Amino acid sequence: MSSSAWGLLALFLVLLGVLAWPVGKFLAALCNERVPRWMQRIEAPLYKLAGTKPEQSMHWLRYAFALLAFNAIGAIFVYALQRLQAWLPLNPAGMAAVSPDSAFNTAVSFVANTNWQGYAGESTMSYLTQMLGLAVQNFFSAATGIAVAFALVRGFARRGDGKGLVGNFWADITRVTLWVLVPISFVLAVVFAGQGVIQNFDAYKEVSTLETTAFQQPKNGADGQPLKDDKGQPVMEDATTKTQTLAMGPVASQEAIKMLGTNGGGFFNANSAHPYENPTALVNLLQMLAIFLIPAALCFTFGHVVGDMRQGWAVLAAMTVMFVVAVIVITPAEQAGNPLLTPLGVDQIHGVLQAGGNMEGKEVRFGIDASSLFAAITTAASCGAVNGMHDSLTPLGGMVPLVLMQLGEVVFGGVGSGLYGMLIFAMLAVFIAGLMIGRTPEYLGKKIEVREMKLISIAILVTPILVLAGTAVAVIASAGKAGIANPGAHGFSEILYALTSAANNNGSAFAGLSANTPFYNGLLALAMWLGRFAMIVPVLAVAGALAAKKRLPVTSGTLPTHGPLFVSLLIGTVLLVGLLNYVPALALGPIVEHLVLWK
Amino acid sequence: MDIVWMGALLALWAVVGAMVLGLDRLDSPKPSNKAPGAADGASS
Repeated sequence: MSSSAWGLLALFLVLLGVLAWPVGKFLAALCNERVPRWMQRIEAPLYKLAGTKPEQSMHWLRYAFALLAFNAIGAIFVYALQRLQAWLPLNPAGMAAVSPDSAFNTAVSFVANTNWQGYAGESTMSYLTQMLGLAVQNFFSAATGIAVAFALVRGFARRGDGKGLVGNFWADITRVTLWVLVPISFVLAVVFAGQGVIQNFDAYKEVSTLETTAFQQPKNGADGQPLKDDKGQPVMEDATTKTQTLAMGPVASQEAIKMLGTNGGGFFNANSAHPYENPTALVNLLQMLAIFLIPAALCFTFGHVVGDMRQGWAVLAAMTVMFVVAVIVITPAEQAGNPLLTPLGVDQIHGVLQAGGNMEGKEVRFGIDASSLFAAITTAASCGAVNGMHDSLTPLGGMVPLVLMQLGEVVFGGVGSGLYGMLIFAMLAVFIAGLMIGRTPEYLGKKIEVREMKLISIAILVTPILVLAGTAVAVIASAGKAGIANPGAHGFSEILYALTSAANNNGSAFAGLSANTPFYNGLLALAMWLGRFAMIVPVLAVAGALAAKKRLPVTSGTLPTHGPLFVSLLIGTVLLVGLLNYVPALALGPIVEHLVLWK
Repeated sequence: MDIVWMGALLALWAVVGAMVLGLDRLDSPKPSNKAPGAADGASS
C-alpha cells in the first residue's frame, strides 16, 4: 500500500475519532432521556399531535409494533408519491409515473435504509419525489436504526424491573431526527453547496459539447433488455452526439443525509462519482467521515450509557481492526492493476503523473487511494454510496466490499444497525466463551440465557438465508439469468453482490446486472424488507428480555469484555459466524475470477 | 398492478408482525437472581 494511502487512512481515522466523541456523548444524553428544557418545549406539540407521552416507556412488543407501523406508512407514502409524481408539482423534467414494481422496490429500499436503486434518479424521479419521498425516508430510516440501538443499549443499562421496558419509540425517533440528523445534515449541506454540490429547482440544461462524441451503447431488444450474441456477449451499436443534458436539482440537501444516515441513494445514477454530488477532494473526505460519524459515535454512546467507557472502546476497537484490514486488502489489490493489460503495453505503474493500477471505473479526480478507501467505508457501513464503480474493481478488490457486507454490516455498519448488530455478535462471543469455561454467559451483568440465544440465532441467520437462498433462486430462474450481462464467475458475483447488498441493507451495486425488472424488483424488495425488520424484531426482543433482568455485579468470575482478549474473541466470532456461511459462494464468484485472471 | 404490489407490502408487514407475536411467546423471560459467576449445570 502506498504511503499516500496510509496517510489518507490515518487522517480519516484521526478526524473520525475527534468528531465522533462529542456526537456520541450527545447521543448518550438522548438515549438516557436527558433532554434540555428548551428542546422539550419544541418537542411537546409534536407529542401532543401524535397523542403520546415521551416519558412513558414501552414494552418491546409495543415498541416493535410502533416501529413497524411507522415504517409501513412511510413505504406506502413513498410508493404513492412515485406513482402520482406526473400530476404533482416540482417536476420540471416531466417525469412520468414510476412503474409499479420499481416504485415498490424503491419504497421498500428507502424505508429499509438500503437505498438500492434499480432506477436512474435523474431520468426517473421528480424533485418532489426526491425531496418529500426519498430524502425524508433517509432521515426516518436512519432514526429508526438509532432508535433500535437505543432500545438495546437501554436493555443492558437498566437495572431490571421485570417488565422489559425499552423506551418510547416516538420520543426516540423525534429526538434523533430533530436534534441529531437535521442539524448535522444542515451544516453538511451548506458546506457541500459551498464546495460546488448543486442545490436548485432549475429545469435540466441542454448544452453543446466541444466536439462530437462517438460511443457504443448496448442494443436493447423489444423487451427493453440488452440483446446478446451467440457467445452471451452484449450486442453493441455505434452512436454519436453533439449535445449533453445536464441534470439539475436540490442535490446538496439530499447528499448530506445520504451519507450521514448511511443511506447511500444517489440523486444521480453515478452517485458520488458525479461531480455535482461529489465535486472536490474535501467533499469526498467529508462524505467518508459522514458515513462513519454516527456508527462510531454510537460506540461511545454505548460506553456512556452502560457506565463503562471501556465497553464502548472495545466494540470500536473490534470494528476498527476489521476495517483497517479491509482497506489493507482492497487498496493493494487495486494498485496491482490488471495483468491482462500489461502485455498490451499499458503503463499501470503508480507515478507523479498517474494513479497507476486498475483505474477502470474510477474517477481520475480521486484515484486509487480515495476510491479504495471510499469502497471499504461505504460497504463496511451499510451506506452503499459509491464514488467509483464496484463492478470494475479487481476480483480481490471486489471481494472486500462483498465480505464487509456479508459480515452482517457490523464493521461500523449502518447508523444504529452497526452497533446492535455488533452487540448481537458480542453476546454470541460471551456465549461461546461461556461454553469453553463452563459458566453461564453474562454480558455487562446480564445473563445470556436460552431465550436470548434463540433470539440471537434468529437475528444472525436471517441475512445469510436471504442472501444464499435469494442468489440460488436468481441463478436458477430464467428471469434471474436474463439480467446477467457478464456470463461466468463475474455474472454470478453480480447476482451474489445484489442479494448481499439488499439483505444487509447496504444498497451499493456491482452494476452490470439489469435489475430493474419485476423479478429482481420483487426479490430484492423481499430481501431488503426482511433483512431489515426480521433482524430488528429479534433485536428488540433481546432488548426487552435484557431490560427485564437484574444487572449482576462484576466478580472475579466475570469474563472481562473490555480487553484485547475479548476484542480478539469478538473479531473471531464475527469472522467465523459471519463469513463461513458465504465461503462456498465466494469461491464460485470472486475467488474463481481472481484465479482465472492471475493464472 | 398497484393492488398487487400493495398486497405484497401488506404480506411483508404481516410476516414481521407475526414474527413479533411469535417471538413474544418464545419461552417466557425468566429473570435470574443467581449468584454472579455461579455454574449452571456441569462445569469442568
